[in-house]
Amino acid sequence: MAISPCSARAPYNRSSRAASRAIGPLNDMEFSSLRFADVVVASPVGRIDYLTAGGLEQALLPLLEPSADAPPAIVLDFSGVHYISSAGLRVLMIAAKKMQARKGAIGVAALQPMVQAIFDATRWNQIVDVFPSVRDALEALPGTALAAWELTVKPRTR
Amino acid sequence: MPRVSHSLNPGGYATRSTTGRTSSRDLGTAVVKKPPSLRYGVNDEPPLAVTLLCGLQQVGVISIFLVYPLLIFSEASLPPAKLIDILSLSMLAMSVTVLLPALRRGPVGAGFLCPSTFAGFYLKPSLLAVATGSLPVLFGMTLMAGVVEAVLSRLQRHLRSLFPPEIAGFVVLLLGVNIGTVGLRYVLGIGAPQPAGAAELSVAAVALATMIALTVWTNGSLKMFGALVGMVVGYGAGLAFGVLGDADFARVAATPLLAAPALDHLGWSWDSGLVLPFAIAALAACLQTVGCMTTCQKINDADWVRPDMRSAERGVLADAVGTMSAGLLGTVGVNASPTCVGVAAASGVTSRRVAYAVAAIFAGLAFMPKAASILAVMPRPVIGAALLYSASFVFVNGLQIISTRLLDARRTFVIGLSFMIGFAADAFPAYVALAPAKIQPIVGSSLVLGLVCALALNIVFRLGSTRTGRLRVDPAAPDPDRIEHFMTNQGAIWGARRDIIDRASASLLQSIETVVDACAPNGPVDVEANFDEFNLDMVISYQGKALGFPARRPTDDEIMQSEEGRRKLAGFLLRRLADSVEATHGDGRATIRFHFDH
Repeated sequence: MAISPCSARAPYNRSSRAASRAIGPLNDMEFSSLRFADVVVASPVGRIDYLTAGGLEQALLPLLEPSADAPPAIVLDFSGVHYISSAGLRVLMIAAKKMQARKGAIGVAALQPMVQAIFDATRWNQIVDVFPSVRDALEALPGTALAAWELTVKPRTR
Repeated sequence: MPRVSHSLNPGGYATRSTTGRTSSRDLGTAVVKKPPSLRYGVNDEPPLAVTLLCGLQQVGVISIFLVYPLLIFSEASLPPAKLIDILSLSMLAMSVTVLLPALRRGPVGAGFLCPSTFAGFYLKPSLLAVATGSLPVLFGMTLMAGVVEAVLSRLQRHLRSLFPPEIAGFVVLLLGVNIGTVGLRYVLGIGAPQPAGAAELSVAAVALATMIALTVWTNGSLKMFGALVGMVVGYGAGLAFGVLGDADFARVAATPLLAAPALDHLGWSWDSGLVLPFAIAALAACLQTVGCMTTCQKINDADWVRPDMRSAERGVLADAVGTMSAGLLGTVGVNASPTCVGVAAASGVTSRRVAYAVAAIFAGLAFMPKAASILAVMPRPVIGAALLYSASFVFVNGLQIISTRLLDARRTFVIGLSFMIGFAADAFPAYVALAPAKIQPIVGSSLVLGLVCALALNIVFRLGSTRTGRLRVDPAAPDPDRIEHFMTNQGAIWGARRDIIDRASASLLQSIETVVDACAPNGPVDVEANFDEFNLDMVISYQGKALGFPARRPTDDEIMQSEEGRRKLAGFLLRRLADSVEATHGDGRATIRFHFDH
């Protein structure tokens, strides 16, 4: 289920950038997201287990449901996730199915060692694409998301 | 109620061994996975040109260590012609000692390209022997050191608990520091008649920069022979900056092109007062060889996980026979060279065929005294540059070996404190010189001193350490942080591999979650984890329903739409994380045993 090509959108405009949606703590997990052009980079932080998986699912729901604002692609930045249980894997599967249903794309990036071990054991990379970094995930997508991300992430050089 | 028991070996992680020993990692004979960093691995057969050029490169590196017999026999005030004879015999010894580790069959050799070179360990004992005024004493004690090392080679398996990977990595790390320190001494001219001036420093800079540039920014042949090219460029720089002069040329011109080395100085004798220094040198050589063998195993096997002591044992015996051969041929002791291993790794060619080429080249050079004289005039700055180049690889390799294991406070002190104490031997030589002569071989060498300290601390810190960890979890209020910390903490105490602890931690967290969520536990969940160097076993027991461990992943619909599907996914994940799972259930009590090969 690859990150499929998205139709071209308007170039990234800082003034129209969606504000960070910091949901806040979901038991032992934080969640925030940023939009770069037509891609949302969502960043859960902490542990995704049977206590927090429901909260993650709720946080992702507005991004997954078809709507005018729904992003065609979502990148889950897992650099802050140090453990995911079967409950969390299930949420990823649900997210992947919903995105597939509306011809969108979803991937996870920057897996930590324990999460990587879990993905390897269950071959969950067959359910959702896995990338070494957020940059690699954005690079796999057409459009201006990568450029917008780099503008935000990289410090300006004089 | 009858107990139900079933064992599950999911095959999700290939079970490497259930007996606690790896299947033979004799890389010289087994088919191993070549790391992508190697162009030609240990079992490969490079083209002849590549083999010869790599052989020349190794010859160039090995020749650096001719400085030790040069130093030692210069102290004996020998005539220049006799010095050339001894250097030529030293080259003949090299042709033997480079072949021995590459042997694949029998008790000698582990099949690696791991040349033995003249070793700094034997420098001080050899100088003590020369000071007696008798070369036969030096040759006889060198022969004895080889015998001692041969005996030690047979004790490797029994000494296994003293050489966990972090200590093997520590040895490699210290070797890198040792080599680098010697390199810096040569570059800076410390110990030379005059300290290095602008000319010498320029020669060193040109040689080292050439080596580094070729290794970093080129590929293919230039990268492979970066060290050799750098040394040749260093000779040129030596000419340009006047470091190589007329006296050097005259010495070379006066030496015949072809001649057999004279043997009239050979003889073997004994001095009981030198037994301890040479025996300690042999012990240090044995330990360094274990480190070199570890490095060879690691760089030649992409699936390397821990030192193979049987392979190391044969490597040590090869080293021991090499030292015996050196004694018989009238030169000084040898040892497996981390420098040569580092150069091979950097060049991407570790084929044992290179050893055959090196042996042939040195056998030829042994009858070309003019070659010995050219090597003897290698500028000191070039020697230093080559040592610094190789030390970089060896040092980082040691760090990598150490970092494969989790470290707790015990291991932190074993490595950190031992490193600083060992380093003190080089940092404070005046203080070290005050020590009694008999323990100078220990305290006078950062490697020996650091290693002795590490071994001693490792023994002391084993007191009070336990191989079993226990945890009790209240299902009404499971604390994931505490559960995760338990396994991580145990892993550090055990010095276990990080990746195994990650899997065990994930298994434990998932198990507790699933038991709490789906098994209606009546009472606490007990966890017991046991570890030895080969196995990690985790047992989880509770009063409640049994867990299932399906062999197949439930369907997507099952996972998304039913509670049963979610539980099956949890069981499937647990089955796949471990190397084997055994579950029993009787009298309302469930026991799950997870096994992880280590």
